[in-house]
Amino acid sequence: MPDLKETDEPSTRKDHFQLEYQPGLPIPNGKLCVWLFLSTEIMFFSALIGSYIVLRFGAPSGSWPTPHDVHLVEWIGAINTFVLICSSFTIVLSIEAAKQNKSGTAKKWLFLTFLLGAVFLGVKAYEYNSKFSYGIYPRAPRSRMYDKPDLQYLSALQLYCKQTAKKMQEENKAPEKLVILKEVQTHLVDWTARKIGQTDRTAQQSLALKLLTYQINGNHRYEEDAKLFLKFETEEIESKLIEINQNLLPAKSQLQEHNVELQAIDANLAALAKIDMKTEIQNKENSDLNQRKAEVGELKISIENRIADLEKEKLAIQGRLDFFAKHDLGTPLEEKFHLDLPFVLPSGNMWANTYFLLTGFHALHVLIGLIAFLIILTLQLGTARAGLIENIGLYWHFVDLVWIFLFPLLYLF
Amino acid sequence: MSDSHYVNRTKLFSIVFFLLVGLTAISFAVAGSALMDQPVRGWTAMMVISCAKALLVIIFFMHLKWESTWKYVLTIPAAVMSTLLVLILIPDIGNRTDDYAPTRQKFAASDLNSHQSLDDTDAIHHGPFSNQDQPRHGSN
Repeated sequence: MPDLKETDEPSTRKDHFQLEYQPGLPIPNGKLCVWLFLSTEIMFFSALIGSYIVLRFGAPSGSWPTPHDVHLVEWIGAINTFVLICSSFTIVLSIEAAKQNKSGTAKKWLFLTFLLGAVFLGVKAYEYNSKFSYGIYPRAPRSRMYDKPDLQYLSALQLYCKQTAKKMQEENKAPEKLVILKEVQTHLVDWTARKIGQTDRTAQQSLALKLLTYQINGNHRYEEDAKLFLKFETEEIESKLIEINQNLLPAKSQLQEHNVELQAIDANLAALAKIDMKTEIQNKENSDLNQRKAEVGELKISIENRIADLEKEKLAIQGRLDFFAKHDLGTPLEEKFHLDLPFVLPSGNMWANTYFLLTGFHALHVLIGLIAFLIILTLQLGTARAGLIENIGLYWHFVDLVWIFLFPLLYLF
Repeated sequence: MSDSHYVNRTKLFSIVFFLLVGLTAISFAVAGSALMDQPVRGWTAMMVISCAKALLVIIFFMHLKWESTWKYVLTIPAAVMSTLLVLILIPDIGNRTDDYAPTRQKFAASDLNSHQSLDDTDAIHHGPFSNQDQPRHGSN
């Protein structure tokens, strides 16, 4: 400014007067800007956190997933909180060092802040990865999460079993897994689909689906209903098995009778065939026998079909009973075999949406902070730059502040 | 240079740091304690702790303790606005499931509110909108 004044011609003017600059607020412009920005950020994050709180507590009662349901590990969240608090502290120390004109020390603390921020993001990435491995994504098609055990869930299971079994067969890996997948498909998924098709009582349909999801994923919310239905169904199919066996016996003896009769007819026909010149009576007898043979043949086929149907049903029931005898209802199949099947988690999709949105925006802020650190790390961090570090520090503390609320809300509630 | 009026506050900041760590530990302990038997108590405790931590960060780390009155102009309206923002969401979104009709309940993100027994007949299936109540063919 003084340079300008000297070269300017007004220096000769006598009436020149200087305007005195009076800042509206007694703080540097940069700091004012950061604070104005932060006050909009407060509203931005309170909109996100507020929506989360309102959606969470307004969800159908008892449905919001617990941290355990969505595989959130509380202590990992606590570690991350600790990391961010440490980074808030180190940036404060960096500002203090800069105010004392110790550029080297200020840089050291700032670099440590950067590292801590990077650790936070690393842990976050690990957590996201773990969510993804459980099939928890913000939305379909990658998300394998369903809000309730309904027909949509059932058809997703059917499709998944079919496609995965095909893929496993082609790749020819993990044969034991393929075996259990096929068993799940036959004795759980397809069985349930058939049962649902057979009854029009929606209560039974819904209970059958709850049993299905409970056996696969063991969500405690369905435990009671699943056990109730399994008891009911086991009784039903055991008596059905007895009924089938009772029906099989007469059917088989009937088949035997038909076989005997057919043999007799064949013997008679053979005897008739040996006679060269047949009488009229013999000719009639021959055609009668042929007619009877065709009739009995038809009866035999129908009884054979009936037996096959009964045997098939018996096999299905026996398979289902064996499956439940082999795999206890208390231990979820997913835990034992890691089949990555679609699963049911009430309000799970709303949970995933809010979780990824909140932590995603927070992580984005952390990332921007890290970039800012990298940029100022290249500068000389003496007293003149203390204000700059303070401004970035204000932003960084705000990021920490958001996490202070997110940690209990997401991990501990 | 402003070295003349520099006050070293490292010790104060260290105390604040340890307070923050301690409060985090308490918050973590609350989550696993008997307080969560009545979740509202546990949640309240955790939110109180979070607010205390937030205040510590704002007052000391963000230097608001040493700023002049302009701090109120920026922080109080923002705090009020954000509180109101949350409150106005409650009637429409927070209480959204309170008056769901049975037909709407069927499409909710959870079926936990509709407990069924084996003998239940489905209210919706046999309700006023079921097929049975539609005019029969050939009745004209």
